Amino acid sequence: MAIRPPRSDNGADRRTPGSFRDPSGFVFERDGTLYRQVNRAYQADYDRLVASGLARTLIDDRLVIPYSEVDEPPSEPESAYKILRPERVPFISYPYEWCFGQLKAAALLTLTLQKQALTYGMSLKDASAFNVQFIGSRPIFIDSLSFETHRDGTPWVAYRQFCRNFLAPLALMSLVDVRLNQLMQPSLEGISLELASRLLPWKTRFDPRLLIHLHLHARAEKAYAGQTKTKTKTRAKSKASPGGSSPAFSKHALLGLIDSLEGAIKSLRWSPAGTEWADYYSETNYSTGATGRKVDLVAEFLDRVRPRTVWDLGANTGRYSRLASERGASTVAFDVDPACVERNYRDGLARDEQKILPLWLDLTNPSPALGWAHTERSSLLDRGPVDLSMALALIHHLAISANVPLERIARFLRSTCQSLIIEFVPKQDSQVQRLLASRADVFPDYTSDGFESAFVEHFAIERAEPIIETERTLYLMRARPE
Amino acid sequence: MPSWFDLPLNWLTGIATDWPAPILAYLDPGTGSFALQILLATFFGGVFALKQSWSNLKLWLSRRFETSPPTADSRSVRNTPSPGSPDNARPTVHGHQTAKIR
Repeated sequence: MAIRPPRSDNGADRRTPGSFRDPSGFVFERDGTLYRQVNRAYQADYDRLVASGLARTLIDDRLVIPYSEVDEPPSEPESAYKILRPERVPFISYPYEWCFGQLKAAALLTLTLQKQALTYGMSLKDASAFNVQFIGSRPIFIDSLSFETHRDGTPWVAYRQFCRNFLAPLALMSLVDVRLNQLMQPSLEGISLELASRLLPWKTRFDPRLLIHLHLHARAEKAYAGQTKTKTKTRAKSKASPGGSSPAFSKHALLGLIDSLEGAIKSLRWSPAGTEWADYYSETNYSTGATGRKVDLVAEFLDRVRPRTVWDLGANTGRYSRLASERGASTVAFDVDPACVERNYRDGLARDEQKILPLWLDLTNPSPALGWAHTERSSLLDRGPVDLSMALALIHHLAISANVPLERIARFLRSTCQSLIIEFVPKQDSQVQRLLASRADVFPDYTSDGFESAFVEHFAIERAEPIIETERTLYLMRARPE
Repeated sequence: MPSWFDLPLNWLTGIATDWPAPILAYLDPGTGSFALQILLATFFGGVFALKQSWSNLKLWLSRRFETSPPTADSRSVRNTPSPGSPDNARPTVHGHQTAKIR
């Protein structure tokens, strides 16, 4: 397909900030539609990807995001080969927001792709965890330009990246502490193998796969850290056979490497138990009647707003998030407890839910903008706003546990949504009493009136319904124009 | 200064730099990572071959002693192309305006 001349207004294209490292192409947005430009530099690999049938197979199997070639003027005509229109992922999430099960699923997807690619004479040149996204409980690979023609005799280019992005964090989460996936946030290139090797228990050196892929791998990196490329290349050239076709690393060895990594990933496990919130619903102060009333009210409010996108902030294991997702809203269920997120994810997986995405998030320190020029990875607010946010049984944790003034909570929630379902939990409530049991009550404004006066600055209160058998009130609010 | 653990690794990975040059990748694949893979190529290949042989043996034995007739499911084999064989691949749609890959 011939590339059409550029549009005169292509200056309005918004290039996705994180899409600049790979010379094969980039993603841009035009008139609200997402496109991917394939550059001429990737022409040969792209043609093979399509002609071999690999692209079709991976898309049909829902392993790679579906896309179509379109007759759209390129964003950068001088380097353009094709323009693709990929299906849009409902919500972009990052590995430091995933639970253990999500990261493990993303790792296994990446290895499956590499095995499939090798079957078609291609190979993954990029094994970054950021190339995987979730549509509901299913992981899907979004970078369709990550495949290159496999050159016989060469090892896996993305081996180190895979170990840093998947194996190291999963091993640390499984064998040290599940919260260590947070190391992915300051290290967007993945966790240093040397650091992972140092943090992992000594006994992991007796696991042959972890010994090879993490401990020996870290040592090998260190051993070669001081070598210059010139020295290495000269040495390699002197040893390589004429024509450079020495089968130094057979395809059989490559499949063995992938098989070994797959075994290592599958052997890592983590079970959610024993955290503060994992048993929340069985330890809550709600009676059965109160729970039923709250469910009915949330459902009624959702039916009134009919949101297409929902964030449930402090979702626990997702009971109320599912009221939204079952109504067709693309719902992100955030929680600060990794055990809750894991349980929520496993529930969604068991039911093959496509509309609910559980993610880890500390609302008092939400995911920031990260990477080059602070734009490579978006902050939480950059990924909003949504039609509706829910903050159920959350306000007392923000206002009392985290000392955030009510006005600031209202302002923050306004920046997330157009409509808000929020539960006010007064001081008389036993859960708030627990929070105040060991500290001075320095919250004179934390009253029903104080709550309403703080929120009416940013929202119009549409409904305020008491929840029977409790002291709590459930509000439906509409955002005021900013 | 290298530790006692590094010495044999340095020696072995030194041998292992015998890969076809040059390796071109838009990401730095890491010299140590390449060296480790080549060093262990025989090991990975050997273990994989053993696992495959064992799977094949189990399959052969199960077929050898299988008494029930094959079901419809067991007869349907997915049309997977052989390695690097575009001729056997599924038909593709490409090179046409708005040609949908899916």
